[in-house]
Amino acid sequence: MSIASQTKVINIGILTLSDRFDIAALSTFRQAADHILAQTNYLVIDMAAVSFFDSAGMAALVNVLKRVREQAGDIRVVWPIAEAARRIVSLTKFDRVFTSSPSVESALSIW
Amino acid sequence: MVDIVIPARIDLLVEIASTVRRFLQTLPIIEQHPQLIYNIELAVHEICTNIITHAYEFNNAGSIAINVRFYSLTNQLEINIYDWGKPFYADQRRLPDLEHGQEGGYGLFIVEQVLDSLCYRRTATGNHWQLIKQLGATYEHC
Repeated sequence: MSIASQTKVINIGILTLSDRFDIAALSTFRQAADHILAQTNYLVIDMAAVSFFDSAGMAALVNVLKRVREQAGDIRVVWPIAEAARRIVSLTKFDRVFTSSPSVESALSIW
Repeated sequence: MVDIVIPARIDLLVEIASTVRRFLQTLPIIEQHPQLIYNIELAVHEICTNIITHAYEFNNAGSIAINVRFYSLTNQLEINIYDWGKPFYADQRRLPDLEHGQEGGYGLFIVEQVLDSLCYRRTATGNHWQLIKQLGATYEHC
């Protein structure tokens, strides 16, 4: 019997957002996402400190999700702690479209 | 009542939101309901974003007029938003794919979900959006 053992090291990018994730923040978000996605296809988007989340932010998240999946990568999202912003996530069923984690540490432990 | 006229610019959306929020926080019927305040602020934000991106196509030359009124007899909040840009065509509207997610189409969907009524009409010179939210029971004399 022969056994081949292999270890795979995955680089995981973490994008931490805060305050308003809206159309005014898109340019900054896209730049940061492009920078990370040039290095890895495994990504955690930490939105725990986001207090306001609009449809433009949602579209940007879906864009990143598609890009990651095209590269056979994976993405985890930590949704806002703020209840009001979190309910919009449920309303749009984003909590079903994305795989979520309660914290960054929890997201990292999955891979 | 709040009346504001503001340049249609992305960087000023936060000013619109905070003005609307400050007014809502003065209403006793809603001041202890942060979710309701957030939802109304988001609805106004989404309509104004649509105006800037579609009616004015980011030209930074237009303006938006917003009028917010609370009718205490009926507990109804009425928000009128006006612009003088290109018309909105409902038949060209994209609906969101809630199962798989998509890049766009969520804005008006959210507005419709969080309000009681959303009406659009093209005026002689521009666009008029009317947003209605019932904040409490309506008491009518029998």
